[in-house]
Amino acid sequence: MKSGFRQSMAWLHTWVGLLVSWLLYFIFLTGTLGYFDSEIDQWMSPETPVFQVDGRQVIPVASKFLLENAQKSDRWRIYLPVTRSSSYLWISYQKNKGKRHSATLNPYTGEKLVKRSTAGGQTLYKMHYRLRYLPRKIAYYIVGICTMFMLLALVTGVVVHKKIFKDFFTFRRGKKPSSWLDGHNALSVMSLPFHFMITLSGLLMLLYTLMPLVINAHYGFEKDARTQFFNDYFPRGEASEPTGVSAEMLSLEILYDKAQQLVGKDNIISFSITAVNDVNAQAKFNLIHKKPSDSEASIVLNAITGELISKNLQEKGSKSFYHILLALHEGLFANTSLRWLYFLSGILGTGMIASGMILWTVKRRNKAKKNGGGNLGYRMTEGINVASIIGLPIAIGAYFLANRLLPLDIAERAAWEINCLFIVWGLMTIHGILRAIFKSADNAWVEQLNLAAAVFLLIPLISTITAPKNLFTSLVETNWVFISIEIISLLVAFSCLFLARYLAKLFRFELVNDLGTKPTVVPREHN
Amino acid sequence: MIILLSLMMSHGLVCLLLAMHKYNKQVKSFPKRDKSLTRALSFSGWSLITLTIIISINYFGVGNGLVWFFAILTLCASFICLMFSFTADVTAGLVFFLPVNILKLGLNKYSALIYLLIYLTTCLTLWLM
Repeated sequence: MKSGFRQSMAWLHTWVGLLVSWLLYFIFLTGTLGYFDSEIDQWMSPETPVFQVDGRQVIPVASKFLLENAQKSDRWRIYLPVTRSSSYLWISYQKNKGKRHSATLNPYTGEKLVKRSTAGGQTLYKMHYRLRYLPRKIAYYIVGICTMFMLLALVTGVVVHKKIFKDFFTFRRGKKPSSWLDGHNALSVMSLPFHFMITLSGLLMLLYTLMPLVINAHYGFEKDARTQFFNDYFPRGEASEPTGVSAEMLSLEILYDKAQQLVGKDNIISFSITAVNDVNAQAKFNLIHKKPSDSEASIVLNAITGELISKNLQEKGSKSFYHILLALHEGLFANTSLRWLYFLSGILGTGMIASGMILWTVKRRNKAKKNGGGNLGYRMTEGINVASIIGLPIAIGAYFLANRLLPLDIAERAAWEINCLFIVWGLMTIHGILRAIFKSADNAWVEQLNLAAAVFLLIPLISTITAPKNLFTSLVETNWVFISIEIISLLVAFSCLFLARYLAKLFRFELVNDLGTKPTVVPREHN
Repeated sequence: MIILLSLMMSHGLVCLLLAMHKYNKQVKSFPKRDKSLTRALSFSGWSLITLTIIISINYFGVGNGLVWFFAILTLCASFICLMFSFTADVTAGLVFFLPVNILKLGLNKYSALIYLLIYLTTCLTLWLM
């Protein structure tokens, strides 16, 4: 620890940042991709058409399906294809709290849609807080600790950065450590409000795991204390239980129209009916998020008489604060253009973490070169940096390729897509570390960038060969989801290729320079 | 509206950038030791950014407006920072082209305020409509 306050903060910023940077990079990258989880879902189910229809048009189709298939069930749930996150008519039904059945339907014809088994964008998004292969609680603790470190790094970063306004636009190109420092500062400061919001809200979302004693103080330490707390604090509001006395419900069309009169047109995303065809039947309508404070907005109607039972359009007090932060974190209310800006901010955040990781090694590079490549710690850091910064995108590319290449009838196909991601990432980590330890991380950067270019170039190519939809048909059909994903893949591929060539030239130049000026130092490449 | 907000934000940020000696010394055509110009640029920059917040909140509501404001700030600031590091003169031209080349006002405190005037007029017109 250094003596002065600012120096101490700089020390803390460096080490707190580095320690969790690899996992934070994973969290930020997968979280950023999560802003387009539904679009990735669509791309990963290429055989299924996507629909956007008026919610009212779908009700007769849903009604017909439920009458034919779920007459004896006591719970119905219907998701309407009215937003980006619900592209099909999705219906589920359940009897006596037994097994829940569900069906994905064509909203015009009611025909069942068969999707390939895929982990999709949802799993990719969930990994940013649930991680993988770990028990939920442990994953939450790990992510929570990383988030706390991130918040600490942000605060110390602001303290360290003396001239935050004066240096707002500073980026000195071509001056090695300064360029990386400027890049790191610029990436951090440009989207600082986003970084603070995302970190603080992320931390608050894990509040109940990280601070369990608050719950225990009020609900005790019994096994079901947590469940009791969640039932009280976040009541589901669909607890109407069947009494056994049957009664005829209003039709779904009438209930939907009544709800629309109360909340306005095109505002309902889903609804559920509990205690179906019972005197206790209730219909709960959930509303579309249109602004941050809209979370959990819903109305409940009596399904027999159509009377309004409760209207919950805005939460109050601390719960409202919690839901606003949740909506801000997930961008639940964001339309397509705002979602792209969320994505940009996420990419800047990912870039901030990556540039911080690189800055650590760049600052120590000259010293390491003089010592024949640096000590094991330095080399390991370099290797893990390569494996994270380039290896993870390669693994995500492999995940997309696995979706197209794995046989459709393979058992646990969705799990295997994810396994492919982690197998490839593992291989990239081994490659990066071994290269850094035994030869030079420089080679690993170039090799992995070339591999990344190849993988992302293959995505649209393999998709064209194996899937019914591809870049060309999507252009004809103006399917922007497919067009965007495949064009972004191509852009990433060409950027990686350009970067690989640039770095190869730079490293060769450095090598020649080193040999010319300091002939006594033998570069590691020649050991 | 998003395009208008982005343009206002970009011009506001470039004005602020040019008001700082650290950056304006990199622009060839920028007059040296012209305090009234830098003061006018600073005023114009802060006013345009404030106007962007007001319009965002007025148009999108408090919650969505603030989110839009910060999102546009991030986008425009990143773009201008990148652009300025590659071509400082072209970036300055974003603010100077209209008053110097088209309106022939030259580089003075009045030319620095021209965008503020334009955007205020545009916003007032839109509001009255």
